Amino acid sequence: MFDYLKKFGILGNNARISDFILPHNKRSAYPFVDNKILTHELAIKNNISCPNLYFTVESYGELKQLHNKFKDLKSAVIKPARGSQGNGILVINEIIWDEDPLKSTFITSRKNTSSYSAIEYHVSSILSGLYSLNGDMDQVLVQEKLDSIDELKSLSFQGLPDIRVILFYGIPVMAMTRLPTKASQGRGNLHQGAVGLGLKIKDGTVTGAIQNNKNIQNHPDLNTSLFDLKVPQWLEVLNLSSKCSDLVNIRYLGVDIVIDPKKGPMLLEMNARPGLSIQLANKAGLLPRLEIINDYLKSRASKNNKDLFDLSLNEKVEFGMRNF
Amino acid sequence: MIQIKKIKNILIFVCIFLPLALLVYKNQKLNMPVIPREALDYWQIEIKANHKNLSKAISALPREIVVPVPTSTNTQTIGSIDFLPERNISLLQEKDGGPVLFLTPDEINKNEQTLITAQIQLFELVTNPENLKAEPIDEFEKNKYKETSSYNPVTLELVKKLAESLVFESDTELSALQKFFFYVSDEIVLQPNVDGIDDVLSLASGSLLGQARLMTALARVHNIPARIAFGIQILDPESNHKSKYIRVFYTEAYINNRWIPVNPHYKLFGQTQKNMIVIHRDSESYTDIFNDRSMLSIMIEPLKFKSFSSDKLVNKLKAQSPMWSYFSLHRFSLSVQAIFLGILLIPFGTVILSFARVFLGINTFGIFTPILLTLFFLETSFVFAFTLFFVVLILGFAQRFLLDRFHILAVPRLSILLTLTVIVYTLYVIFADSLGVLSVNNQTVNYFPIVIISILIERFSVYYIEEGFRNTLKTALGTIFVASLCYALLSIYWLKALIFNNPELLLLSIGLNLLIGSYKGYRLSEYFRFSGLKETK
Repeated sequence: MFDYLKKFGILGNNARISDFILPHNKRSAYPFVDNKILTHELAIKNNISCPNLYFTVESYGELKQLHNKFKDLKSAVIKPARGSQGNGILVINEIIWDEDPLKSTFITSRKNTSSYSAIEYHVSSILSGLYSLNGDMDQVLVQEKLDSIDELKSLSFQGLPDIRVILFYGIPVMAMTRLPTKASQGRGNLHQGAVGLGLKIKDGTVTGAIQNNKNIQNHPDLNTSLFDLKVPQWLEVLNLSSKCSDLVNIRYLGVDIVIDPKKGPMLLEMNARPGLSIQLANKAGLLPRLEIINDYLKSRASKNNKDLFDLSLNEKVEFGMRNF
Repeated sequence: MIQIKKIKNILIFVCIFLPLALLVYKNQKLNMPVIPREALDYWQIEIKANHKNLSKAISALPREIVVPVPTSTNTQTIGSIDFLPERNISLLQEKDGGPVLFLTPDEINKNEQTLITAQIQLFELVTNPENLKAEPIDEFEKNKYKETSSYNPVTLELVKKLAESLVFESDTELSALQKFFFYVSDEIVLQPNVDGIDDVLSLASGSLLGQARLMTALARVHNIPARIAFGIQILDPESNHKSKYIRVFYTEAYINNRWIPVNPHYKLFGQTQKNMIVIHRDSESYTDIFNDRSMLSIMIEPLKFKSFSSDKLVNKLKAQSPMWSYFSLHRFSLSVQAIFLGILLIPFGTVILSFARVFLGINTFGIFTPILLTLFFLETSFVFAFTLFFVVLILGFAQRFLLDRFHILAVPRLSILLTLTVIVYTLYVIFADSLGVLSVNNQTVNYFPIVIISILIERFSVYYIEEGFRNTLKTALGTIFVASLCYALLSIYWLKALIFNNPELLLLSIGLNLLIGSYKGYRLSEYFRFSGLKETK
């Protein structure tokens, strides 16, 4: 019954957890990827480019002064520190300041105008833990709003397209770009109807396209072909992702990257439990690739009597590009 | 690494085989029953006489009104018995067919109904007429049971002729009775509502009552004392709630100081059916009352866990093995036992839950919500809990539309939702009670549902925000599916009794979960999720 899954070497959920996440990802390292404030601090310390952090909100008491913190900002993104799958993220495209800051208008990504009180409410919802991983109290980040390069933007319906790279021991294994659609309401969530394009690690060209787990050819809203894309600055994207995985003690990792037209590839967030739909977008299973890396690292270790994790950044990225 | 794997495998082996081995050991060596019989056959019967309908009936034909009171026989023991309005048992009229309650016109007018509640334990049936208990009666009574004067003379003539044609001179009373029995069981087809002897003879078919009347008449014309007994046959003895039953009339014939039950339709001679409760054994004059639901309604319910006869059982177990009986949960009061039953079932629910997640890939709200929901199902009734679940779900969706617009903070919003749930729950119980859908008592209505629902609602609202309507609905269906699956399995009666009587089986849950947790293959849901790949290559 599962023959075709085996043929493709699809990594299933059970094996993902018991063979990769549990043995390779140190539980103690999770806060660094689960909490975006910690991720940000870690990235800054290690010179990894990431969106500017304007300010954080860590308690209800700070809500009173929220409008002062927003002052002088033209646009921003509000994020829960411990949200998952892009939940609770509110993109403010423009702020039209009134003399009374409480009467200012916020234009959000869904082309809605929101009042200041709606923004305040959203921030307090995040604080109360509505969007956090297990419903605990949370903190809020207000970050710089990024843009995307035209190559990806032209394939997206609103929202911000990003690139997900899965790495194993810092070696890029598989990648895809997630393109927001009308159905996903400008969000990059595959299971809410965003388009996933599988990308070759070798050169950033498209291997397959899916929406709602089904193969597609053209963008559902824009009707443009999805297969002509070749992601620019591809080597930089891979380098950045591999560098990120060095920061945390997580061997099986997903890294989300946005390519800003001015600033180039930037780290958006990391994920210690990356999803499996990337295989569908790539029309390829993760298992054979992960095994290649396992074998390679083992043979290297036995030959040189070296630590498994001593490859240089270039070696890791090169290995990925050569094999996948 | 290999060491750890070995240890895991040993652990799995131990957890699975140790409890099973213990079960066999206790059963074979210590002779302790796996499921004590005492735990199986307890029933609560409610006999309700409706005064209004009874008085209508007597006004047409002035006569005495009786309500049968079940009594102990050789197939059943009566535990407690209660009357409403209250009565002193010693004041009951003792008749040969068992005690009856005479209702005076005064009593009928004063109260709306008379309710008799009795707890009954059923025994294995007696298979041989010789093994029946002797019940000596005097000549006067014998003659009474031979009396044929109440029959219509034409009918009597017919019956006499029939009896003569069936029996030889050489036949003993017993063999004659057997011949009558074979005749009725072979020649008379079951036909509801054909109750009179004439009709039964002319149509060659008759109801249980009609057949019993014919059988009784045949015995009497052959000079064998006989009477008509009344009981109910439980049709679904394994059910947890109100049991289905049919009313059964059969004949008892008196031979060699023993009352021999004869039931031609069920082809039973010298024994009664399995799962039959005898209500009254001399019912001839009251068949019209007993057979009429509007006058005499009967409800039967298995008591099972509510009434393990603790002391008796614990003493019995102690005699077999003091050590093992120490761990028996029968030492506790019945209400504590019921709680323990629920607690013991939880680990087995987790096995199903793990299975559904790991093999089928079904998502649920939270991890243990489906199990709590299952307990809710078991505790109340499936329909009740099921509908409440969906009502709460609709409430959850509705509140998102409304309260979200008011910008109410999260915790107060959930609190409002919980309040709404309590309101809905209260209304629901009131409606269910007035419509008679649910028997409302502190078994069905307690804190439990609210606890479950509040957990459910919290998970639900978070899920809704994060995953949207479609995925939430999918997960809700997954939750209810897993809960129903658990419910189906855990309502198998012997399984519950098995776990309750052998708590060491809990180890099995650990073993099975270890086993399930070691599965690294694909989930059924992944077969569909990745089906887009089938098109390629």
